[in-house]
Amino acid sequence: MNCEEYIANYLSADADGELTPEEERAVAQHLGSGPENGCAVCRARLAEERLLKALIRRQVATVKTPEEIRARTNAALDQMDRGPAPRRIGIAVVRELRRPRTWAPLAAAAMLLVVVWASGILPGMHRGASPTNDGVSAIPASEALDQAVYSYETFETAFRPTVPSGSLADIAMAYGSAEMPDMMWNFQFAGYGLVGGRIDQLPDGNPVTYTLYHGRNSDILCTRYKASDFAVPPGAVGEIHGHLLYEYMGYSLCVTVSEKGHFICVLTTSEPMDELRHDISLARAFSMVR
Amino acid sequence: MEDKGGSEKRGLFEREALPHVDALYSAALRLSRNPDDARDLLQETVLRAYRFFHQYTPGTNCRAWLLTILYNNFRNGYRSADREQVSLTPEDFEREVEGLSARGDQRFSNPEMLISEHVLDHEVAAALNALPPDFRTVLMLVDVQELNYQEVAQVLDIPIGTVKSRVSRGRQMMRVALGAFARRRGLIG
Repeated sequence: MNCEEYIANYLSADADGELTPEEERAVAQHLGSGPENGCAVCRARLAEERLLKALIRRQVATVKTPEEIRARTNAALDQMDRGPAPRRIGIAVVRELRRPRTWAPLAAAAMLLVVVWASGILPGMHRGASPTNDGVSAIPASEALDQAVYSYETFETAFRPTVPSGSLADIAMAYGSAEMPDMMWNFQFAGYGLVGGRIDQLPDGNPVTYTLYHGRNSDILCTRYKASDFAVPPGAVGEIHGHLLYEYMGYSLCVTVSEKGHFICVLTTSEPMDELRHDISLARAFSMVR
Repeated sequence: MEDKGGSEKRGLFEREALPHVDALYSAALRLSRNPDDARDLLQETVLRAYRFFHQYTPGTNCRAWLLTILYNNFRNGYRSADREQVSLTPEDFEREVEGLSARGDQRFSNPEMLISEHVLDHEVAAALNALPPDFRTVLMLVDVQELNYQEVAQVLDIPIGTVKSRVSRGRQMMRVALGAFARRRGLIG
């Protein structure tokens, strides 16, 4: 072994204690141990290599995890220990108990619409309204909640994506080209996998998008509608990062109305509200445009 | 591992895995380069580790196992299209550190000493930050997290020969960069 070989092939592994016994013997022969014996230059290089390791280690000192992050992590572990959320009681019963009276007539219409819609008759039938036409109003905001819940119930058991990709980027692009918001929820950190995206058309010609996320205990469906002027539905039970939270028909909902009221986004899940809050706190936004 | 019930699993997890949280957080900070993303990456890593703790083999290096999950999380999805880092090549690196490419390849095997105790911390930081990410990552895992080459290969899902060559090449690049800084300060000829 000469100096060049040692430096090129063995020096780093020597400093890291990664030489095989055979290599160690060959290296020891080259390095030797004194002024008369072995290669002092390579011994110095080995010392230098070890110094470099120490310098790197010193530079990248371990950072102490902030207490707030430790606490959050422990709380999340506690939550996992508690196990799956209790099953909700029968939806039909809850619906009767919790539906705000003022929304009741709308729900029947919504049910009819969704049934027809799910059967595949409606999409494509009313192409008179351009998806880009903001002047065409879609369903009222309160009805959007009904729609979202019914869609959730439909898609929880059978969801057929129209965007054939499991990637947020592909789905965002497809939504964008349908002139729908392409800012996507990413629930990966909350333990939800992306199932897929679906673009349909409402009877009024406006597009609607559905994005389904599948988690351990429940799903989250993100439904988005387009309209001219959505108003914020009444009855919110809370707020997180500017999104409004609703407990509605036995489901937990998170509603976002876009600044100009042109879009409404409803997250629907069967998990309890505190878990939806938690998921949202872990979620991040994904967008093709930064 | 059988399902031993919440408290026993939690106890074991707290003893084996949670002592490495600071190491994970440091790695997350370095990967994501901002505290908010590091926090999310850490939390997701810990939760996933807990969920899959039955897959951990007691007696093996728990830190390496946790780092494997962290790097997987980072690779899959976390580093989404809009936050993909620009990847430097070793040649870019050489250009970054002062026109070194003109000096020819023999500089890497040049036995002259380039590094001394007088190297400044900010120079080490600058040299590390300028390293191509693949090389910086292996040096982090070997020199900071103190994993062996086999463990690094497992964490990054690359062959052990690649680990070995990246460590060697990465340190050579560091050495050349630190030598250049020292020359600039007139410490060595």
